[in-house]
Amino acid sequence: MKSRNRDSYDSDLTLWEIGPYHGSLPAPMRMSLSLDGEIIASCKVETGFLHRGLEKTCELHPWQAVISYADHLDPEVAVFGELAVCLAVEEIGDIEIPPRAKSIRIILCELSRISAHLTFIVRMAKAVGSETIIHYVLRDREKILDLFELLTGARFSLNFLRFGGVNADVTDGFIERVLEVCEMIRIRMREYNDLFTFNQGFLNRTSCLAVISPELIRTCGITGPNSRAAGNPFDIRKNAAYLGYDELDFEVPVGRGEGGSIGDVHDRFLLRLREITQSMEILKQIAEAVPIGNYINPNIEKGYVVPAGEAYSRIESSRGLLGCHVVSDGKSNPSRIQFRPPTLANLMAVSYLVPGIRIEDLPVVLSSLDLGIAEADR
Amino acid sequence: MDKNPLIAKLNKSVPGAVLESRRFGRSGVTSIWLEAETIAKVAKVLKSDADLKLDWLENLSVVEFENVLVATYFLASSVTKQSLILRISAVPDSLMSRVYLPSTRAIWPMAEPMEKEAEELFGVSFHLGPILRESELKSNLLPENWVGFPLRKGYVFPKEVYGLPHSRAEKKDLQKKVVPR
Repeated sequence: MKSRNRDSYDSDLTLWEIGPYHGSLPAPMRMSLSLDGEIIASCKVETGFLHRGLEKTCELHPWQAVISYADHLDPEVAVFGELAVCLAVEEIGDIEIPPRAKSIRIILCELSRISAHLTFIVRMAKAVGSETIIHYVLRDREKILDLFELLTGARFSLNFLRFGGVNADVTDGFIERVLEVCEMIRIRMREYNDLFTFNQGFLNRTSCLAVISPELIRTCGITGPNSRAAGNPFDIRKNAAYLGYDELDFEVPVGRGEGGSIGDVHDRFLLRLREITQSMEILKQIAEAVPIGNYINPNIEKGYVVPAGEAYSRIESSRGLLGCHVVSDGKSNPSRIQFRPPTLANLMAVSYLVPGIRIEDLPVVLSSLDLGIAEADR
Repeated sequence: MDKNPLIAKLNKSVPGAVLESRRFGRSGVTSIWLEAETIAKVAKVLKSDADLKLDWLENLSVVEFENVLVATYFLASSVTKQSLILRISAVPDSLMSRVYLPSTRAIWPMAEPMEKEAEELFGVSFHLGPILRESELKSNLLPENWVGFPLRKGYVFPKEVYGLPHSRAEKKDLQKKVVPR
């Protein structure tokens, strides 16, 4: 892993190549670091090791199969890929979504967001070497995966949304279970805070580290929790609401700089905890009033072919703004499906954030950005 | 004189840039088709204009419509909250030949990863301006020495990749040969 070449002899810098597969990396990627002692002087990031040709695959399959492929855009939060495709198709075909289907979709989205943020806590805990919290959080995340299984039959790769609604109605007792899990996570959040969030060791490792500035947000186009932690309140659920998010009462948390400076690693961590709280608020409001009626538009037949046209949908995934450009030429397969994953911007930010930090902090910074290489490489 | 004040403004700043303007799909967003070579100049105007301040290239998508490669720029403003779509096109000489379009990285730095993707998968090369510094992000979506641009409509899949059959049917044929019944 450690190497020296002519450049490093000339400049007294050591060159390190990490990856594509390495324990300190959140996913397959290669980092070329030049080190001045323990300080990282510069960093090059190389991605593409997880490219599966997802967009091409979508073009080669019928419209209905595209939903199951969209699942694999980001396997950790499958429902967001599905939703982005469905919303674009529904705009092209002018398909009405029944209110009950909208509610079920929001429940799935917010449960996925909580699940993704819990996974984020696990990654952060791994990066700073805190074992206990990992087991606590994974135990609680299982409850959310149980809910997915109860509703869709799958814990990952849900393949549950359909053009004009969802695949099945909610099962008996599902809504009550959602509320129970919300209450359980609310209690557990105190446990996480006592054990981890305000632990002095954790604060020392994350405060004032790798600060995202408003300038960097503008340069790279960063969205989602990483951008909000740096004080930018942009959330597409509020700015251009879809699925009826505008009728719900929830806040968009922003970074406050409790760790020392606004937009540091600790802010990114705290912000995700606050987003879990807001997602639970949304779930409670939805669960109290799930409308009665169809769970899918009855006019949409199984072999539905999307009419010629195009649309661009934008949703707020757990990592930021997920866009989907869908083009149909009226045939049985899509003409083009293109995703705009939020991780592309986060990856671009890595080479700006890493220089100047110590090598031991690299896994912490990478984990704090919540990189989804699967969606970036596609 | 154009009725749309934005089109009039663009025609005044970059004469001959606007080819036509349409509504994008069913959405209320305007899409403007531009002369490809003018995109960088138009981008500069749109970003610096006080009423628009289109400082965020949210997405860059390339689509092939009947052998024409169309680059679509989804723009938004973090200040004025406006959005706009720009489109430029180029026609490749053949399946294997690249097309060249001006890069907008100097105006919208976030274009870089999206332009690199289009370069590999569509064969659309975005030529850079003289002031630009390459960032440290590198993407290798395709294996080295890959022939062709997979996202083009006429792309023909290779029969084998590094000595291994590419399609499922050929893989089954190989299994039959290896495992005698």
